[in-house]
Amino acid sequence: MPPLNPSSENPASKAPLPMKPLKQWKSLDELSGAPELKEFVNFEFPEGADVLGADVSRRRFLQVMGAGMAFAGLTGCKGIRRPEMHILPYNKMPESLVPGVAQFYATTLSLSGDAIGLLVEAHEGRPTKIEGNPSHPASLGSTSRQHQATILDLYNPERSQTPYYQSQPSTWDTYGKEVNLLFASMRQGGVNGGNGGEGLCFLSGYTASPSFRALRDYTAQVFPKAKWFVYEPINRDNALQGLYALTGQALEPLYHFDRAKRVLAIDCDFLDSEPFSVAYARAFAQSRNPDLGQAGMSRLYVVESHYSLTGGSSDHRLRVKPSAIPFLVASLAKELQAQGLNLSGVDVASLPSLSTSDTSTAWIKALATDLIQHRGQSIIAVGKYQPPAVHALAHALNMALGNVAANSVQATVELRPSVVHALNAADPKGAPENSVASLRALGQELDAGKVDALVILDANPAYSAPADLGFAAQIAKAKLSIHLGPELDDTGVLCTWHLPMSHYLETWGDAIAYDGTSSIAQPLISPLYSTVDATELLAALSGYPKTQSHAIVQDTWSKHLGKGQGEGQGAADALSFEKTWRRWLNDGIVSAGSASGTNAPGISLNASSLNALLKTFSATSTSSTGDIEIILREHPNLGDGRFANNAWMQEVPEPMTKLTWDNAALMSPKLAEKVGIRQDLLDSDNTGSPMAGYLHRPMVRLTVNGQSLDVVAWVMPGMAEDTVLLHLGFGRMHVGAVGEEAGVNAYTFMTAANPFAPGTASVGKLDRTYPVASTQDHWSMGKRPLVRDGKLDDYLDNPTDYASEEKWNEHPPEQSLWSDDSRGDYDFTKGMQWGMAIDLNSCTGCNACMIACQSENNIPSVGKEQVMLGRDMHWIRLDRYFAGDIDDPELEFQPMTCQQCENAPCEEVCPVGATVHSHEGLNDMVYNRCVGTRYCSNNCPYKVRRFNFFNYNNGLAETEKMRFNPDVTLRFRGVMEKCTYCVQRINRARIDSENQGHELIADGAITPACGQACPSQAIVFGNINDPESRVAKLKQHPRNYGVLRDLNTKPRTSYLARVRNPNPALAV
Amino acid sequence: MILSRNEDPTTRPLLVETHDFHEITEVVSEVAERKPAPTWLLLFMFCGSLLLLLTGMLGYLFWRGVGVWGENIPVGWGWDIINFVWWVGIAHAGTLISAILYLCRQRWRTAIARLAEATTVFGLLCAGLYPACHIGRVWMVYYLFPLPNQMALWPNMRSPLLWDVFAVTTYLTLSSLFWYMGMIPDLGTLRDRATGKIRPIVLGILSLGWRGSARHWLHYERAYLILSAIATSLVFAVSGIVSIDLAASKIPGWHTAIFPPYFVVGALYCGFAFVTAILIVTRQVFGFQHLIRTHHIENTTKFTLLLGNLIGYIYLMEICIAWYSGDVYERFAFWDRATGAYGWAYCIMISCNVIIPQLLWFKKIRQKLLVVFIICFLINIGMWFERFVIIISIHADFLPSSWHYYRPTYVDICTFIGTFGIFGSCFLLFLKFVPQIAIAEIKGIMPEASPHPAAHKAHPPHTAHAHGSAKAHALTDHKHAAS
Repeated sequence: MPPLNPSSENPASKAPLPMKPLKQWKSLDELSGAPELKEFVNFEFPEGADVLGADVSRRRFLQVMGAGMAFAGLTGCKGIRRPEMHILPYNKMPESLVPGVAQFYATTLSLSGDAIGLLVEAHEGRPTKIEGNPSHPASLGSTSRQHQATILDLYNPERSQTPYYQSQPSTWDTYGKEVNLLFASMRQGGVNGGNGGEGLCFLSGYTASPSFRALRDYTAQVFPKAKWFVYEPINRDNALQGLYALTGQALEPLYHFDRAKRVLAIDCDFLDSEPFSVAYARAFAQSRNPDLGQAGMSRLYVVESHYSLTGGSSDHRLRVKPSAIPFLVASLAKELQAQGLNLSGVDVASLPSLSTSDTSTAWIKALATDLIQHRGQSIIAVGKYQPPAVHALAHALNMALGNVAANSVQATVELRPSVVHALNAADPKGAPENSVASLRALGQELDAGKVDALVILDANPAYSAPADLGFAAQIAKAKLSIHLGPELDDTGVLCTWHLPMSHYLETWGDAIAYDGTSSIAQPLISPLYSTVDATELLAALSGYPKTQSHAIVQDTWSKHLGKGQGEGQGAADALSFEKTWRRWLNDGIVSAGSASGTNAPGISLNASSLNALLKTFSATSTSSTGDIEIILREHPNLGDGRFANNAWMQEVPEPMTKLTWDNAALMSPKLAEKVGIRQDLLDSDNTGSPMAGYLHRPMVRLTVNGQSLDVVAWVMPGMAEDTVLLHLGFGRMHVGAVGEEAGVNAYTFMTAANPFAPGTASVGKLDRTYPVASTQDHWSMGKRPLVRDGKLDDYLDNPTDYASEEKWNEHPPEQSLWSDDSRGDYDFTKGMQWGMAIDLNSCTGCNACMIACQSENNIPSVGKEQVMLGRDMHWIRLDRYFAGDIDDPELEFQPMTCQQCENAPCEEVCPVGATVHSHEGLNDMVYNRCVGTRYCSNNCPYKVRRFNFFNYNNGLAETEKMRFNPDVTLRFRGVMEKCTYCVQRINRARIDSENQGHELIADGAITPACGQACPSQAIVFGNINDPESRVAKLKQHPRNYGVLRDLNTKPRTSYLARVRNPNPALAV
Repeated sequence: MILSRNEDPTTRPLLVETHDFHEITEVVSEVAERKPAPTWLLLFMFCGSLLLLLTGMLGYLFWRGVGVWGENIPVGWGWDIINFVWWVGIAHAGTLISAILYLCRQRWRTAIARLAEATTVFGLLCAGLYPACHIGRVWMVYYLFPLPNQMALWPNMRSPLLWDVFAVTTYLTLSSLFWYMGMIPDLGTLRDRATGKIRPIVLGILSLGWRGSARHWLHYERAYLILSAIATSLVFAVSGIVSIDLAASKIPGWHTAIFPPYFVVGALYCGFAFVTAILIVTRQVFGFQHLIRTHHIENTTKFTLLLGNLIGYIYLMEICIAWYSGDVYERFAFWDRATGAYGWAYCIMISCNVIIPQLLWFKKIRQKLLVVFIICFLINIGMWFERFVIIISIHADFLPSSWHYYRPTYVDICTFIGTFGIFGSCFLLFLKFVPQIAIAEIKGIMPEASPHPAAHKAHPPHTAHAHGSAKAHALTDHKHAAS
């Protein structure tokens, strides 16, 4: 609260009002009334200065008081005092608001048409932290790193704040004068009768909002001749088209990994980047419980060309060149049929065969056997980058295997009507459309000069269109172009008008999630700037009777409710709607989609169209050996580029390469050698320490279809041979200060014909090097027992020995010289003792915890140069190690954060006692006391302490300051910081618990930010002194072990060893 | 001064080539009394500019933060602590040469003791600078001291870094006292010769009323003896404690029981080499060939050789223990030191510290002062790299995920160069304004100082009386000089 203006305080008011005037005197001289003295006194205290001193009437008092206040106001004008500021106290206290206590509101976020329900934490009206909504099926309380990072976009000072006319700041008034009349004249029956929207084109990305769709439909009525195009760079066309060919309906698959015993993922990163992946990760983790024995643990096979997080969680991973994947699936179909699966209707015979190596033949054989043995309990999941034919064939196999069962309670694969299709297709009942084709059609309109007005809603096609379409150049051919977006991006600068778009936390909305769950999106804050959202803009353009998103969304849902309850009008309905509406807002969902859980009715295999589609197999062919294929993929953090100006997303490492702030040409070690890149330059050798040259890596020139890009090369073990992966999302030309000069634009290579696998590439090494910022320069953990990992059979044979120190550690554990009870001050057996257990079997390595932690704990982003220097500030990091053959390794992830050692090495060495132990077993950091000797960090065996080498919080914009969590101190430069187990959450829970009269905080009442965000719920926190708590039980688990426990640090964080479930038939 | 009981100054090679007491007084005092030579001024300006560089670098450091240095996580300490340990090492030989040799009755020390002690004090100034300025919030440096405060917060007595603070401040106090106290008789000499208005007053205050009476000498020698004894123990304690900074940690390659003796030997080694190099330069520049003789240099080089071999033994022992421990982290740390990213530094360390000093076995080489100077210079480089190798080995500790390369920035380098500005400026001021060579002590070892030169063999033990007469000679000389 800003301080009250001191000048507005009337000093006179402090003077006591004498009840009974007394003659006051200062000295005997005064009392005697000497004239010299009178003169002197008058000089010192001029007449009237003490006007209130003696006789004063009520009237006089008020006069003086009023004058005083008026003069006090005048002093403010002189500018010598601090500027007058107004504070507005709550006239009416908002319901349930207690200053200092966070509030949570349910809302909904959709990214690329994929919606998730959220609970957003707000402090005194400022949203500060994104959490998942536990009752929303797409979230179940968890979020991905991108969801977490959206809060940063809200406060991004580089957001568009006003309309821009030809890239110059303008005003809404000017915009209104220029545009409103034009649209009014185009409306059907509008000014001068209207031309029905002739020459009007709309372009949008995927929406998940039924209100937006309703307005789109309204727009179509108002502008019957207008055309609507949908372009989403990372789209779901392939799945939709494949399933349409298979079934004749626009369907998408919903997988039930928790029910599956065998899963085959074909280039399908369902744990991380497919729609609904947050919920998938949870369900998959549930199916991986080794304690239930062979039957309780699923087995995951992955076929892919690059290493994905799903590949990292797999039991068997087959890396094949991108062009070979369809053929591999064809081979699988043949093998399944050969092993007796009834594939009636599928023209298996005409499918091409893949001249595969012996390894993959054996692999497919074993996989087919495994799938057939688990009919009805298996899943074949296909990724969005695979061509429609692969989707069609895979789901035909799913059907044949009985996975798409009529009884949906047991079905592992549900084929459901596609939400994205229903909301985005021109004809929701018709055939799926193609995003690229749609954009091409728009381009043709533009080329033909038929477009009078082009409205681009929340899309950036100038950046993300296939380069060969030349869309960016075509925009100029529209007579008027309007772009609505959060920032003046590559498209915005090309359009006549760029309009600022509201953040989803500033506006009302709604969304239908992948599984059909619908929910309302309510704002957490009124728009920071004069912005509109897409629905509001559409309403304004089309002259919709309601202009505010709140009214529009309510409109949609009152109609929906009306439909559900039959005909009904009147005040009673309005009241009941208001009640329902409030319940929806409170719950964060309108209706759960998967609860109804049925397949689309009447799914049947459409043999003729399927086989027609499968014919495309023979049209394509695998590239000849030796050709280098290039694949383009959305970046795990930046997505299609929409997060390019988000510092958190730039700085959180790409999960596999641990690269930050750049993309790179990923290639296998063998290909790198072939290209002529010396191994030691690419990575320090596998077990050695990092070399001097690692900061600068060699660059290569990639040439695809005549287009060239110079990009840094990065060796990624586990990539398919002769394959280069380049991530999309970087290299935007018009992006804020954060995304500037980050990476190269891989859309350069994208072709309309084959967007994500544009063909063969030539890779030529350049003599230049490029500085890269990687947070981990090491592949291998050597022979150190850090991540403990083994086979299910071994675990079941001898669980107690599975993760034991004796088995894993050559060196006998160090012994303490002190007895356990010598710690005097601390009795770790009493009261609440906090501890954490991290299940490595569940952890997918997705980095959601890192961003959740960054958001919760006000952790700064430090920039590429500082990351290069090894000064990244994340309190929790994901250690990634490769194991086994370096060409085809297994992947290990280990979340590493402060282990809250009971014998903390950091505490002993701090000369000023700035890091000390709490009675609840926390290793506390006293920022005020810290002088920054960095000794604690040196002595930390886990290297989880982070040092403020500079004042990283310096120079923040006012809006950026708004995102900070007020419960967590901002750290100044020169101070060490680290994970606190979210001590502010512990204290909040303690307050709540004590208010409710509980002596102990209930298990589960505290969830640290990392554990809360974790999609697979790998992080469990609680009181280890309570034998009934989840964490205490996990600590008793045979798989439980402590990293570096042999150092006698007694870490409070422990890990549950990973268990893999390999197929014995594929045992090496 | 104390005369060794079993020695006859006349039968040993002359420690000092000079004619009489007066000449020594003249030669040494004259340096302090005449106007500074142009070379001195030039050198002083050079060192002053280094000092300016240091001030600029520290200012920049305080303004921006520790990030201007090259440190990172995991390498939390870089050139700051390397240079700290290095300077502490250099600071050690001074006291050792002076105090230990004094206690051992090594009378040849007299010619070089003062210079060596000055090295200690100025070296410690440079060393002490680092722990103070390397911390993140330098304005809070007083937190490191046990100052009473209203929050009743005390430093953490378990932290070796705190022991460091105490050790270094104690050592600085004591070595300054030791150095200053040894100077008092000579300051008296200077005072007696002083002309002008201010000079006699300043020197009068500094010489603490020294009159050279027998009672003064008696007290002086007792005090000097006691301070020598304390200083000697401090030589071992300080380097030992500095090493415990590392040894008490958990880090492989740091967590080693051999460190305290290792660091003491290392400190003495590099200190001896440094002092030898300084001596060679000083005697050339000021023409003290007759006072600092080749014999002295040869003696220090012999010590250097001994310490060099000890260091070599320790290097070997360290690796052996790492192998014998069976500890995977420990083994890797040493393997990595020799073959990893900083293998080149290890090579420099071994060649400069162990291999090259083997040349000192040869008398001919020991007597070639230029060669000795170069060897000593290389030893100091090698010892710097020893600290580098040890401290930077933290770049690859327990979890490979956090390993990171370290490299210094220009600020690191310029700050280090700047510390030579402190050392150089102080040393030049010392050379100019106070007697560089202990006048009184030198006189004590001249043949003339022996009261019974001819009858020496007949009366081996010197008596207190004999002492007194040696002092009487010196005193006489005082009076001569004053008149």
